[in-house]
Amino acid sequence: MDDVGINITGVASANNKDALSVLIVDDDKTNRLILSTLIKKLGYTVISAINGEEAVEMYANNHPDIILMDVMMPVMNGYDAAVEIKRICCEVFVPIIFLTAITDENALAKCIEYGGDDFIIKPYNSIIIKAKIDAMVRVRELYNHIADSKSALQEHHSRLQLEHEIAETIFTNITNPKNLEIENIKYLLKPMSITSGDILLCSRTPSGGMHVMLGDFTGHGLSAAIGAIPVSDTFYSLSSKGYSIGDIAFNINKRLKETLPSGFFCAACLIEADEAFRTVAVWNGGNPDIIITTNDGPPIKIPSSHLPLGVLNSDNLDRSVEFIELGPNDKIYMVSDGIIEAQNSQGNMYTQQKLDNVILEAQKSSNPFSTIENSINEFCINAEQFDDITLIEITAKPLDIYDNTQTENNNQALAVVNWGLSIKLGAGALQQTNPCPLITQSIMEIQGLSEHRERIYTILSELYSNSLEHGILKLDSSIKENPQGFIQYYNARELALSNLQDSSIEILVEHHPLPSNSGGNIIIIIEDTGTGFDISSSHSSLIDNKNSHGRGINLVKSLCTFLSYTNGGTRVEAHYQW
Amino acid sequence: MALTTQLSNDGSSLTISITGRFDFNLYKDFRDAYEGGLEKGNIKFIINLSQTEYMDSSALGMLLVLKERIGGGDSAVVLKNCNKEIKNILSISNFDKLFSIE
Repeated sequence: MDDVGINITGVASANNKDALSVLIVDDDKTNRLILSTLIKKLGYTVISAINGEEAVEMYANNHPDIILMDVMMPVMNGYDAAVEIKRICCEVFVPIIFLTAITDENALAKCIEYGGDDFIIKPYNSIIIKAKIDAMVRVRELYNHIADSKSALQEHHSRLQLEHEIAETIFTNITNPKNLEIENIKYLLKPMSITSGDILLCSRTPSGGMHVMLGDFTGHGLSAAIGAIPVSDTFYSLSSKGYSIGDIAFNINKRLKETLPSGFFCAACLIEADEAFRTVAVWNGGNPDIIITTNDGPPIKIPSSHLPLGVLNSDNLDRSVEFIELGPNDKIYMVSDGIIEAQNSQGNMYTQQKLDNVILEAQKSSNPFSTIENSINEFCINAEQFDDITLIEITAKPLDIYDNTQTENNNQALAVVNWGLSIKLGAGALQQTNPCPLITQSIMEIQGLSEHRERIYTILSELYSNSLEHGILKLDSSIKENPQGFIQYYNARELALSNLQDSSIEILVEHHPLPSNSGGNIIIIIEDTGTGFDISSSHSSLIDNKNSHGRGINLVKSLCTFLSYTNGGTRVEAHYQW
Repeated sequence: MALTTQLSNDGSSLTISITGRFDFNLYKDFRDAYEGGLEKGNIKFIINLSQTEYMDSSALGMLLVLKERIGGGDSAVVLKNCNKEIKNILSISNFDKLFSIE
């Protein structure tokens, strides 16, 4: 071994070094002694080994923090010991500083090549030794810090992944479209990430009809999916109790407004169909147009007429729905905006117009749904998906008989009984009141029937407006046909109403249980003191009227089991069976 | 810069202009912009959408948050210079009922 020239000037400095231990490996006893005195003075604990083999053994048993390694030693040299120690220390950073008298550049390079982190050339200088050890301590701290962060990050990542998996399971369980196995329904769901911001819910109502909801939450992924929980909860719970879609929309809105942070909402359309599928009620808030293809005319579009759910305070939510009369095998299409805004590999959007055309063209094919589906899939090939995509097709044909003994039915709480009510409104009352909401509410209070609320309300209000506007006020509905007409019509209505004298309308509602006691028959009779009117000319049929929200006598006819005007049009009787 | 702000000379209104896509990526910028405006006191917000190509539902959400943040008067947030696409998005969501659109 070379002479060792040491000049000990270092004094134990930093406080925190007690914890760090240094392994000195040298076959020369004097060197070991001098070095260990020097290192101890710097404040480290010292252990020592006399050759490479012993060094490896000591490393394995004592886990020193830093190693000072001589190169030339008997039994096992420093290079081999370094390779072995680096092999067994795995992820832990153990700095190895070679001590060597060799100044040959290749030999020095070899120190690093064999896993050394630095070298000190003899004779030692205490200042250099201190500086090199300090530097290595710093590198070691940095390394440990990164290793800690890395493992924290890994832990965080796997926790997040687990949470995502849990959320996905919950989401799938809750929104599991089990009821979408109904024959009338076909659907396509293309979520952008594991969890979708689109939600598709379907439920059979206690009266054998069906509710379908397509919701599209703000954003995508987990935060969007969380909103699905209160929505599907409310939907299934109210639907199974026989609430109407207006009520369901109202309650989902309330629930979302209470639970979601502001700025988060759910664009939604809800559809209710009766068992025979002759009419559907529609509520569209913030979703693209609902498209209904018909056998005998142009498609009907039902644009969004409400704000999305979760935006308005519940008092302001408009629960009114639109009724559409359907022909056999008419098809209803609902989509989320993910389709319209889908981009192909060139960055062009799918667009509403293309969707309209594709839907219309697809009706000529034997399987319209798969034709549309193929068009969307082909368009999206090789393109990045920016939003969840959902398409649903509902065919108008009678639903399967539904065994509703499994569902809750709050109507059972109210016995089916005989009752009746009548209300007579004079000119003054006609000017200031619309009796329809009051009467509908009374029917709800006496007999339950909330699932029939909108139908009953529609019948009442259509018949009442006919009596008032045509029977008593003598207004001509043909002026409504042009766009300005509506305003003219309502101005004329206001004027005639304010001048009204000596007129009255009497409304009679009776309810009789069916012989089986499983339902009832509601008889509505409205009689007015007007001079009557020609029913056949006053009311355009629904076929002509499809774009102006499908109102009129034909709509009422499709909702009723019996409808008849008598006494020259001053008396109307309608039967609604439930 | 996808989002720029300009305070009117009399300090009564702040115009926030958005270029390109108005979506979730602008969340922080948009919030910083209106919070900065709110520090100036009771001012009107003009959202200039003349250079906006597309708006997603997160953008609608951000507008809602702004409206709630300033406590809701109908005229306090004005959406200006909407192109056809943007107008369509606003009308589908019925947001034209919530904001003044000029």
